[in-house]
Amino acid sequence: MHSQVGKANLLQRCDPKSLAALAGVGLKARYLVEGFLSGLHRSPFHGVSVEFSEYRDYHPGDDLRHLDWRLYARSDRLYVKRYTQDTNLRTYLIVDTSGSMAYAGDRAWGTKLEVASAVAAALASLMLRQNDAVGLLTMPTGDAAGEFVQPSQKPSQFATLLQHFDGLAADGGPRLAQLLNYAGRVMHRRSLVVCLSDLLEPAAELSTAFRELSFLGHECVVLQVLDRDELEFPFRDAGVFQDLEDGRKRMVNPANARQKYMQRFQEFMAQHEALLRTLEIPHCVIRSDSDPCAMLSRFLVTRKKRP
Amino acid sequence: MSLSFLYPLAWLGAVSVAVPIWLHLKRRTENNLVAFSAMRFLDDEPIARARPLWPRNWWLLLIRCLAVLLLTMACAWPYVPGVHEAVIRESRVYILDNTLSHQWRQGMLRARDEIADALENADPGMQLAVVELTATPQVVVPFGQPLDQAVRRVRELKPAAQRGSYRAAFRTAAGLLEQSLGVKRTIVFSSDSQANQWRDDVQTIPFLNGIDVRLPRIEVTQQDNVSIELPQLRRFVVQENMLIQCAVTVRAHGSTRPVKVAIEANGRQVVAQQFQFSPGQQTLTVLAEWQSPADEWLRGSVVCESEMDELPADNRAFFSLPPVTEGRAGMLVDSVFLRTALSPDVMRGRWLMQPLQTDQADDSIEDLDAVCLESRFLESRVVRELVLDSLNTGRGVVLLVNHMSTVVNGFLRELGVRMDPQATLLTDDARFRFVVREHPLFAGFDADLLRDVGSVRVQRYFRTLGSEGVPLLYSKTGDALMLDVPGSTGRLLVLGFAMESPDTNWPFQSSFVPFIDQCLQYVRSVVEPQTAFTPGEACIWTLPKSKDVREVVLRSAAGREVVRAAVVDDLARFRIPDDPGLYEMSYDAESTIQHMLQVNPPPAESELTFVKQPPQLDAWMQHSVPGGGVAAEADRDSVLALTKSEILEQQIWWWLMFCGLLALFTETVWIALRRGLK
Repeated sequence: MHSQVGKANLLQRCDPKSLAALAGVGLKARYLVEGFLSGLHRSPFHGVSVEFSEYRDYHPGDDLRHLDWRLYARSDRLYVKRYTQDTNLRTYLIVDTSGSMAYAGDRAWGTKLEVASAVAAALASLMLRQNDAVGLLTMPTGDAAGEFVQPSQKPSQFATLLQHFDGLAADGGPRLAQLLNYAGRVMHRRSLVVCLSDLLEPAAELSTAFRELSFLGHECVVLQVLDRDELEFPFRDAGVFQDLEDGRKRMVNPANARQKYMQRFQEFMAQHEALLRTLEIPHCVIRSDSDPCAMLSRFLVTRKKRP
Repeated sequence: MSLSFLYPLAWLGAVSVAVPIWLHLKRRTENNLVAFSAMRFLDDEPIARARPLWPRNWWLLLIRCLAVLLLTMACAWPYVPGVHEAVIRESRVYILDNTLSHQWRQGMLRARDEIADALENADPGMQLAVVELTATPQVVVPFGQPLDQAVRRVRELKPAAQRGSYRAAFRTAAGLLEQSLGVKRTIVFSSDSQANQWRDDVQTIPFLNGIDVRLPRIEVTQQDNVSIELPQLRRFVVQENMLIQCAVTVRAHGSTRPVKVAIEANGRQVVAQQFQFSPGQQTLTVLAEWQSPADEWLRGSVVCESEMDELPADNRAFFSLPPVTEGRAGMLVDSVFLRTALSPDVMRGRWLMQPLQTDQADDSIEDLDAVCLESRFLESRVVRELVLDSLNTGRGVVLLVNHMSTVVNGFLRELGVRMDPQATLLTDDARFRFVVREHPLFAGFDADLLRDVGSVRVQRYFRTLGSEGVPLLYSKTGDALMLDVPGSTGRLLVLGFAMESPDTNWPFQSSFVPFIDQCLQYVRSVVEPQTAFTPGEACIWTLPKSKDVREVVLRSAAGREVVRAAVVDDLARFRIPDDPGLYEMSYDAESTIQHMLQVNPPPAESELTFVKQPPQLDAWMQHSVPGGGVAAEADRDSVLALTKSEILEQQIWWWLMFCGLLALFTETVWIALRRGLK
């Protein structure tokens, strides 16, 4: 019963039209978080960083805060608690800024980049609420070094991230694989990598990059942002189609091209899903015309059930 | 059917046809451009260029282009010569010189008949107009007037004694040709090509653009002529007699022969004498003097006759003089001689003297024309104010210095005269050393009177130390004894001596009374308006503000009314009659003659010197157009000089505007329907 009410609230509050009307990533993210929290009561990321691991003998110089005083009272021996990880979870948000992310269909509440930024900001807000460190990795056009925001759990980190989200612009050709390689170089500790992209790149290059991240011990999550037009190709009138990434134009008659397009697109999706399944990377499609809260909640609930 | 355009440059607007085409294509492209992200799944399909709606859009494009073209044509002012119209090959303007000099050997009449014949035999392909060269050039026959009317109007023209400007006539003709239709434009100058006329019109900006000028054929460059210039007359009083002095200048052009001069005044011949020019002499001045009543108008004429005279029309000159108007003068003198000279018995008909008060202001001085006083009365403040008031209000003052004091000397300084406070005494020969005879005061004195003035002795006088005035009399020692002092509205004459027996013997001379009379006449503030005019001259007559006049009437000597002009803001504008003579001017319905206008032939017209090819004409031509008329002819092929009203009369202009606007309306409706269907 409670979940029914929460779902109703979620659907009521995360209206795509309202999202489209909100200006800026910050407002969109807060709107998403509020809607998301009203539907979920436990964070799926909680628990990883506070798991008790073992006891060990106390040695002079150890921090007295970690002494188990109850055990000392029962056994009159000094033991120190040890945890699986000393610090909180480190999360890297990777936002794809290739030119294709600039697309916004008629029914979308924003461009794919805006959707990705809003979802990323919402996730960052959630992480920071449970004292996890959140960082950001993007690669603006022509910047081979990428843009890197060091993970931090300070409350001011959210504002820093929002500044970067607001400055993002979709332009240029595909660069997700390049961005993942860059992430592998700059991340030195095992981290959670949340990748927000449309994945409109050759699967082979992405496969190599994801495999490398997995090999380095990072846990990856892929949130694929797609528009309804990309999924359904609803165009009717013939005209000139221009590529958002390289600017090339070609004459297209949708009536003739639709079937071939859908076939190729499904092959593309299947190829990526197979790859991500192979690498055990969670994958979720977020449509820019749908309620992102619902998709996020479904995805995170699914993830929470994972062993 | 040929089609021409008044403003062919407006066809540049046709370039705007490219605008709808560009908009048409651009809109089509923009409407169908889709920026898409998943282009990797699409193939190029050139077949998509062939759109089903494309032919319909072509119609839309054609309508837009048609609207622009039609409106552009309308803006270019199209002109289609009608079926019934003849093609105008040449527009020609005749300038008929109707000035006085052209009457030489009936030149004007011959030219008039030639022009009338040309009009009668005019080719249908020619446009003809006639400009009459008079004081104010006027279009006698405009373009397009029916030929029978034009011929009749030309034949009605009569020789005039006016003088007009060649340049003004050419400008009038050029203005006509600017509005003409002919491919070729010509001015035919039917004139005597008088030399001094061309000299008067040298400085001007070229204005004959693409116009051919046909000058008259000049066979003789100079002709002998005798003429009379405006006689100079004045009234003069000697003793009890009122005399008329007349100076007539007879001018001979070319070779000279004996000339007979006759002067007639008020129906009486006063002079009839033959004169002979000396070798090389070109002008002859005839002086005449006769008695005439002072209370009636003097009107007369001077006629000269000579064997070598090619232009009889300028042999007569008219003159007139108004009757003498009795003046009013104020008197503040102790001198018995002055009081006698100014007494009513002596000055009757000329001056009415009024003794003035020295102790209180007199209101009656407003009617005075002049004041005569001795300096002794300047001790009174009232008199000093009277003098200043008289000078500032335009009345004349004759001041005789018989007394000097600090007050008088200071007042004289205020008037601009510095005098020695001590009187100068001469014991020996005290006659005048010099008299300025050219001054108007003495100009009327004949030899006897001047001789009499030369015998006047002045033994005691006040010496002038410095002044802005003009000395008129000098003592034996060179001191100025009489000054004409400027600087105020009224005239001031200052005499440095008194008319008393110990000081001078002038009261005993015969020139005393004429001198006093001339002094008062000179300072009298009477400004006679100009009454000498030439025929056809434009006149702006200024009336005194004190008179309430609504109309000015001019009557000829025979009593026929020739001009009646309304008075607006004290000004009457009218044209002087064409015929020389005397014309009486009266106001409104009154019969009183206010002025007599003397209308005489212009003297410059008497100079019968002619030029064959005047260089001034080159200065009037537009040399920036090589080839003159040829270049203009090329222009005329494309541009027809029509007035806009004439073009608007043509239906094609209205049809073009209508069709252009209809096309625009259709396009708008079409687009609205398409949007509605969508």
